[in-house]
Amino acid sequence: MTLKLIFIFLFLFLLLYSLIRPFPSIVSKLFLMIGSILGLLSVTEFRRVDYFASMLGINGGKDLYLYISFVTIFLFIFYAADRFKALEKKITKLTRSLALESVKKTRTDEDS
Amino acid sequence: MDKGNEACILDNVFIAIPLFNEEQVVTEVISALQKVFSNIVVVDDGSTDRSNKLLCDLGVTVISHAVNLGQGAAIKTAFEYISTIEDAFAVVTFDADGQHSVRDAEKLASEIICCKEDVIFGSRFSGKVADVPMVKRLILKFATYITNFITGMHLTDTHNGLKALKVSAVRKLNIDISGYAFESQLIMQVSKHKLHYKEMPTHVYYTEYSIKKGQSIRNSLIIVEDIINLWRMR
Repeated sequence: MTLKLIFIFLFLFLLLYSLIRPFPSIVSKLFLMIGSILGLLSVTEFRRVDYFASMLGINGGKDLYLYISFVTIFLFIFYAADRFKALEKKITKLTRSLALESVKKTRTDEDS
Repeated sequence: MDKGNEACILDNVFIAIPLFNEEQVVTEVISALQKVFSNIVVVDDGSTDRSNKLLCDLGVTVISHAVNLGQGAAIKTAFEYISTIEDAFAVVTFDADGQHSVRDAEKLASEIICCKEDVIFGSRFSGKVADVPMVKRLILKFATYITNFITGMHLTDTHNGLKALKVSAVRKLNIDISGYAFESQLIMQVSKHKLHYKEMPTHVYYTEYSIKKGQSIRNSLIIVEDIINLWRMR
């Protein structure tokens, strides 16, 4: 029961946090909000989750959560990879411009 | 063409060398090139050994990346730098591990000045068949076949680091792949911009050092990655 209470508080805190905190994008806000609601439901209303899952043609609530977790993980990897690629491009651009700037400065110094 | 006249013309040809941790061979490779070319641009791609120090003593233009970005990024840096030089007419790309012949680079440089083509690809399989290890040859042939199929080009060797490009053509290319796959992107861009190209036979020396550095069979798998990238870029 104590563990259940801890999880309820944790998910409620996350839900409140997602509502109060300003996020740079609506996707991040929704991600935390939906995640915390799903977490809260999994602890307090698991029978309803089971019922909802069976309505969707899934064996049970656990399976539903497992599928959602898989989708979330894949989306996260995709998003992270994309961000990583964008960051890599920025680093490449920055490194290159610094290198070219330095060599041009040397050339100008030599000319003068 | 007499030697003096040729040397004078080659003044407008720049050698672009991407380099990463080549302290063992860099002095030898650059010194050999300096006998023929006066404009050598080396992009030190974040070397952690003594390569950069050795390069500075050799009197070539050194562009130093603060961190290692990859061969494609280094080539792109060299291209960007050379494109800003007013009297630069052509670029010859040359590997830093000593596997290419200076004589071949000289031939490519002389040819790119005279010919109407924008790009000359070096080929190990054009003319006399090179002494390429069997498995590597098969992988290269396969990669070439697929690359030609995707790009509509007619090349015999798509993964040769020795090539010559006119600066006017370089300015049209947009390479943003940092790794080895830039070779495929370059071919793709040549095809896309309908640049005129041809091939010339070149030799590749598979020394113990170059094999250790990057010509191992395992590294040939990178070529397979290149092909996947080509499909993505289509």
